[in-house]
Amino acid sequence: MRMLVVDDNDFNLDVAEGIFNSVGMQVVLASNGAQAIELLRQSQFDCVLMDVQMPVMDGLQATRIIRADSQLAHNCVIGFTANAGGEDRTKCLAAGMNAVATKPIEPESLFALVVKLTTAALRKNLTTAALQPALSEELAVWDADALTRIVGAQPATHERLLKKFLSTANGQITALTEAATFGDWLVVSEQAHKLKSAAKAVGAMRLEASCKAIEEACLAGNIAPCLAMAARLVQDFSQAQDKILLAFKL
Amino acid sequence: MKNAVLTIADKSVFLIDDDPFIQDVMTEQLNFLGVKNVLHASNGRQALQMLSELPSAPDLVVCDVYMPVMDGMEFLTALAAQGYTGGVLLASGADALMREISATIAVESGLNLRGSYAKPLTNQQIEDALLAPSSAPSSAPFSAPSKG
Repeated sequence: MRMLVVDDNDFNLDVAEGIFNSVGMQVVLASNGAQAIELLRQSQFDCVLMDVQMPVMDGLQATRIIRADSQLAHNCVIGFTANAGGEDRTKCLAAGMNAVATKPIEPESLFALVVKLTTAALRKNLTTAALQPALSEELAVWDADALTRIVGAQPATHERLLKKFLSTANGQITALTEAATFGDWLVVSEQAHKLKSAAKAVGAMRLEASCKAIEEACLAGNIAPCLAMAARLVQDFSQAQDKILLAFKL
Repeated sequence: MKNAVLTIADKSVFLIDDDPFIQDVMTEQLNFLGVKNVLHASNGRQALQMLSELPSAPDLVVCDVYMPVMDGMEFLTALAAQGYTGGVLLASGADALMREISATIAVESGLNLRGSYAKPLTNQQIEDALLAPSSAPSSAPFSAPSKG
């Protein structure tokens, strides 16, 4: 794993280098956005950790250039800021960063983020057949037998679990649509990830497929279709919900 | 399978998943299979704490990969370091690549991995993991089926 860390503060660079080296990652350092772009043109990196405010060229400008350059656009860029408040975060995401991390570095959550984003990028390179919305038409809106296969034919248990699913899922759908409106695609992918397994367990197969598709697209930085995918996901949930409510006369 | 079900009733299972709904579904599922002794934790750190306080180690640990506080991979390494010899079953919403990476970490740490699958687990996957010989080396197949 090869990281490019971009920051104008030497102390921050030292800390980042130490942390990534400690888990066997290679680290290359740059002190502004222009240097980072030059390094990205010269060799391949798995992930870029990019400070926002820097002299010469700041992280937002550098990210816009990376996204606009077909040779560089595939790079995974994590913004790195002390002001993780809404505004900074929104600016980073709008500039095309995949995610935003907060200073000071919290090693565990940063590793988790790097691993998550880089495996998504790797998978994107492995397969381009990830997004096939047409296929989901053949899937069940709600397969009433799915729960029977795992917890047996126990109507009372089914009803209890399905009610719990609907109430949890409604909260996740709200969080997901809100994050989609703000362009916070990492939060969208996290909500879709949680909803995905629950949807599969209760037999909402079309919803599961929608969750999976949007999670993969968000993590791979393929943002263009995500708003439409979020709308589709909401529709799949609402149809599954109607069927469940009808079946249990809820 | 009658004998198998009888044997399963004596087994203890420790579930680690941050999603309360999945915890609930899997507990019902284990009860349906006849497992009465089910404990759960929401993350790796909480699980390690609870495991250290148990009078005897569970027969099977069922573990998610992505969790807050301490994720599955860090937990597996710590679990191996504690000398846990029971079975380990990975159940995750992560994609096949991440499931395989986690499985490799489990095996290389010396854990007795019984499988690495997409959530939710099927009853067959759970039964197989529960009934695998406890002394089995970690040679159980861990590649996920093509359709989780």
